[in-house]
Amino acid sequence: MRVVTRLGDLERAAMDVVWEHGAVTGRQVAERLADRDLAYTTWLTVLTRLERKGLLRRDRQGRAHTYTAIASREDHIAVLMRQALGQADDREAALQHFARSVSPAEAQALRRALEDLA
Amino acid sequence: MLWEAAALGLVLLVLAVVVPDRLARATWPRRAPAYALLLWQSLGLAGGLLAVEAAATVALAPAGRTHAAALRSLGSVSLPWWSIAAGLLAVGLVVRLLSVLLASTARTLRARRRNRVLVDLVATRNPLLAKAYLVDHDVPLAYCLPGLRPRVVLSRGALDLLREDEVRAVLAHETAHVDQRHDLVVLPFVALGATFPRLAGVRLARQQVALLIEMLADDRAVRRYPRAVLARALYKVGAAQVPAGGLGAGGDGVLLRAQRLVTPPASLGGVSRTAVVLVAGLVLALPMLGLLLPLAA
Repeated sequence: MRVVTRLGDLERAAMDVVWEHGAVTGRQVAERLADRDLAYTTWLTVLTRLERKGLLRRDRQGRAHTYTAIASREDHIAVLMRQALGQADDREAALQHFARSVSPAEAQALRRALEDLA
Repeated sequence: MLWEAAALGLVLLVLAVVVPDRLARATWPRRAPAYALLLWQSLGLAGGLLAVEAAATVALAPAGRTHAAALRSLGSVSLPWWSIAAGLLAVGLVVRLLSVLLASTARTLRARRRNRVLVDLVATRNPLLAKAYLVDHDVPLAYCLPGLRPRVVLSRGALDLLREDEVRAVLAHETAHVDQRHDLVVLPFVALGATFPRLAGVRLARQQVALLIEMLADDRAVRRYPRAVLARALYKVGAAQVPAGGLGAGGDGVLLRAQRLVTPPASLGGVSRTAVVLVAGLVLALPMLGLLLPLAA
């Protein structure tokens, strides 16, 4: 479990570098994240995993490989929100909302109920 | 010879149509949501079993005077076509119920995993809200991904909208869903709904179960935060969300929950609670009792 969490943490850190700098090589990621004190090969593993997950694209540039993000952070957030707000039938079992949106009439009734309280 | 199947069918009709309608209109479930859930669960299970049993009874009727005797002589008697058709219906129902349950479970888990991967990728954490995953988006949104690797997710829009105590009350509500595994309560009803999408009783069951688990989570949250705080959070989030098509469907539940928070109904008394448990047990016993009846010739 611990290992899994840690890997997820490294993947996030690597993605943050890619999102910030655009196309990067494994060596550049290792340099940017030097404070983590991890071997260059570890970062290569992380980048390969991210590529397999469909989050990064690998291109050959001279002798080195560069990694580019398939989608921006904002794109991923947009997809996440669409999933969460979407109306797929399974959604109610997949995730549980605190409150779905109410109609204007219901909003008014709610407001009145709250005013009674105050 | 078919009176028993008719009796089972009648009981089934009462359980699948009359009782859900009454139960959905009743107000006592608001006073004891956990007990109402128990009753819905026993109705769902008994209804499914009785449907299979009614078909099986028609199938077995020509073969013997009791279910057991009929099963024993099944190989040696030649059955009329309608008995075979009913037998196929019974087997088909079992297969369909189980396969839909498996399929909808798989779909749910897949949807949950897809969303969790994204949450882990883009969400940030805040030490002050240790349990929450924060997503940088304007639309106010609060939800949880239940399961073995649960996530409670809040959008920046929700944080901007809510006061700090309201945020904490929302987190307590979502954490209750996660801790009490409400997703496991919902799952069989989603499968039942997918199997019998046209049955009003099944639709009512789904709606009511969804509402009751929200009430359970509300009850847990108000143990630690004032009712008014949670009610205000409900109003703010409910009224602010962008209504994407069809999303307002759950709206009446929000209103009901807020009213329940503002003027809390008296908790259901001990005698009534015991009565609900007894009725749930009785409902579950119906399919067993059906097996004991003789298949009168």
